[in-house]
Amino acid sequence: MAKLMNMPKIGVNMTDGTVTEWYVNEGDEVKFGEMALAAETDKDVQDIPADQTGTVLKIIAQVGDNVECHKPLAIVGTPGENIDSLLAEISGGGAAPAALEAEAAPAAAPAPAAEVVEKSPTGRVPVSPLAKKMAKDMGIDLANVKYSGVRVTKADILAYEEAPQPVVSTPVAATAAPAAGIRNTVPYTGVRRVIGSRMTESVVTKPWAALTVAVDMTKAIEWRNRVNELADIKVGFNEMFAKACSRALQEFPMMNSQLAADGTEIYEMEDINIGIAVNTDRGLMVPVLKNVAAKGVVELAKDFSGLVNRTKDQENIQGDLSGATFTISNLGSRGIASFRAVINPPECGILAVGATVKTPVVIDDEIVIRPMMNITLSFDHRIVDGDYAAQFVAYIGKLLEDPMKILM
Amino acid sequence: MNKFDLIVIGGGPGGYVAAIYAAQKGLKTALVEKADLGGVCLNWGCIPTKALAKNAEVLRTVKEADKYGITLNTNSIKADYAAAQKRSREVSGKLTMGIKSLMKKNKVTVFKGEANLINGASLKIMPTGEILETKNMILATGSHAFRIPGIDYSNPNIMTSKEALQLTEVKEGDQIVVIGAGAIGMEFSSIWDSYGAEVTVIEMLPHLLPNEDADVSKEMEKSFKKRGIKYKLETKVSSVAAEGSKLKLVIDEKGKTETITCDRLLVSAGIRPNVEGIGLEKAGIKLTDRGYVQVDDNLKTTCPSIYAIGDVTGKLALAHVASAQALAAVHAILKEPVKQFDYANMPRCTYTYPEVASVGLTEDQAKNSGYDVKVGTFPMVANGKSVAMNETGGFVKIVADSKYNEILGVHFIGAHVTELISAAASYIDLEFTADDIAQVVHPHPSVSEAIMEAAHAVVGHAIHI
Repeated sequence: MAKLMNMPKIGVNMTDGTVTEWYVNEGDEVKFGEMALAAETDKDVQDIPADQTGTVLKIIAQVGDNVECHKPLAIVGTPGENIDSLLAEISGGGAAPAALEAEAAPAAAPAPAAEVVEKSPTGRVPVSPLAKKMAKDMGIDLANVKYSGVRVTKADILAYEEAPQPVVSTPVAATAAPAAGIRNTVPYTGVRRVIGSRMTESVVTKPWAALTVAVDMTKAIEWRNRVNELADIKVGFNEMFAKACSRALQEFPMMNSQLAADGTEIYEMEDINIGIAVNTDRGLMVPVLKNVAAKGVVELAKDFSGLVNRTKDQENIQGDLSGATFTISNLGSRGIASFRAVINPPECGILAVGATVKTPVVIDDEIVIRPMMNITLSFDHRIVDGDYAAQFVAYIGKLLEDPMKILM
Repeated sequence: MNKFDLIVIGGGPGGYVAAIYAAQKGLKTALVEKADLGGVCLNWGCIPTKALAKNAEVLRTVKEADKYGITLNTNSIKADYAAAQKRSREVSGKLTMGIKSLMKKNKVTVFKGEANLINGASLKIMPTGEILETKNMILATGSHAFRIPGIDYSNPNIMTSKEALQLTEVKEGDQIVVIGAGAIGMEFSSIWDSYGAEVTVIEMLPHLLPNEDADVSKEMEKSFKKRGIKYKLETKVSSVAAEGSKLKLVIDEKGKTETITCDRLLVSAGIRPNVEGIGLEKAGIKLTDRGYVQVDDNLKTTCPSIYAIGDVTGKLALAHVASAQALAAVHAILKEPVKQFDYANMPRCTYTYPEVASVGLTEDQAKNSGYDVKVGTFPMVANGKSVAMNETGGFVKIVADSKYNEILGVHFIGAHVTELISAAASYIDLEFTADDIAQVVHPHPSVSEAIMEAAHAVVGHAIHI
């Protein structure tokens, strides 16, 4: 779906910019973060990055036009898309340069087509029963569906299915299928495509690095066994990891932050909500444990079992799969020694948990066998530096080596 | 004083609703009406026919009072059609007064006369010659009955719906022929039969109510047959001639020519838009191939300041569609989001006995549109309230798509079913599936339970059959 590419606010005092040169023409591709034009701002003539990815369908601000921050520079989308409603939106907003103002008679400017509403990420998505059924069947996350009118309807679902998904385009030009050798063709749609575009977005936009720590799990295993003797529900390691991460995030709040979409501010998040990657029939899902700092591991275990059941049964309620501020991906049960996980945008970090393996280690100059586990933190280098991230992941290791510290 | 934000031309259920809504929204609004406020609907259509239908229902009930253990001397039952007609005029008059007071309350200036456009922003009121200026206009001039050519409409025994509503005498044994088995023709046939007239309906297409679902049409044919109302399908009228006080019709029934005589003839063969004598061309308003005013999705005509609503747009000639379009046109003028209509999903009612009501696609239309159709039907004879009321004719039929049990159409035939169609229209508008309808708790005993049962039938099995 076509989107407006707006003038980003790239400096604290920047209020507007006057376009001095376009580096792209209509029909050219732009990529999020890549320089698309030059504009004179409060400081100097600066290169201005695109805040969208796609093909430039229409350049709205011509050279010499002054554009306020967050006002449209161009329309970006897929070639051949209808951009009338966006054009109408712009002319309705009164921010358009003269070139775009419709030829409408003053007595009868065109009425806007039903407005496209974008819902808040936390709000419940209003949806008709039929649209809900269709979305579930097609594996569409309703949070991604734009709707006109008061709620998501069948028409919106069909439009979503037809419209190309917002995927960061790859530099490979050829998209045609190879002539021979295909055994099976699977549509790249729905959940698969959403995962794909989010992973691509993460890797393309986040300069990331990874740090690994080996953790002696002896006491963690003992602690978990003791908890399970007392608790009325089986507490898993994931809940313990979530609790340890939560404690560490309290100590290192920048790891619990996010970079604003326009790249001008870093938001330190109030709540610690930890997503835990879960494999389902539909693909990777990340149910989110809310407000982990305020809960004990037993409560977390209850929350988590509910979340996992709802996720596997495709019966998630709003918020089950959104709002995470940090994520854990545990492939230990698959015997993976260690790995680097792709950060779930817009979060700052993800902890990749490997298998616990009996390993000879040297303690007090003696070789002993200990259950060892590797944890690897991938972090967004725009938000924190390596030293801070290293302290954070090392602290998680210390907490797991002596779980009593989680309570302290 | 004669400058307005909006002038509405025509005071029917499209026009007067547009005027009130625009005034409520703060526009300085005027309405031009040449006859009575309320239009055809209120004065010569929907409302007075419903008054007559009520009289007919009372008469039918009285005539079968013995079924309920009430003994009446049949010779003492006197049905005065003139009184029924008088009551129908009183009902119209009362409602017209209501509209008049609504105009006043909402400060809509009403001009009595005909509007003659000067251009897209001004018009002249005839015969006063007063000139009004306006930013926008809404055309809501409505329609009139189509007069099949070659028939002498000056003959007082040959009527269109308007004359039929002025008719003051219908008695036992009167022979009346009705051309056209659409809603209007069928309603008059049903009323006049109740008053004892010998009615014959002539229809060109293969079914009564040819726009309804085929099962509904067949049920209606069964019911008319039972009541003794004659009908001839796939039949054309070749000529109509006066013969003394009688009328002689030559008809062609599936290639077979026949002559029939009658006392009166009703021509109810569709409608034509009121587009003449308004000066549409002066504002650059174009008509469609079928002669209706051409409008876009926002009901704007080819003149950018003028919108059109109701019968004159040729979308779906129903009062409630005109009223809905009225709100949409006002929204368009105010540059607010405009609801886009799916005209197939507008509820449609026919007030015959039994009544017919439908919304959405018929089974045939759904199949022809490529849906994988699944049908759920529930007969009124299995509905408790219907049995208690002794109104066991008819059924509810839900047409759904197999994949998600999406509701494509709901069709009713039976007593009072026009009051039930709103529920079905809501279900479709809200995109309920058959599973959702089946789960809605419907009150017992009520005829509405039949909707839930038909939904159960789509999903799996109805409970009470």
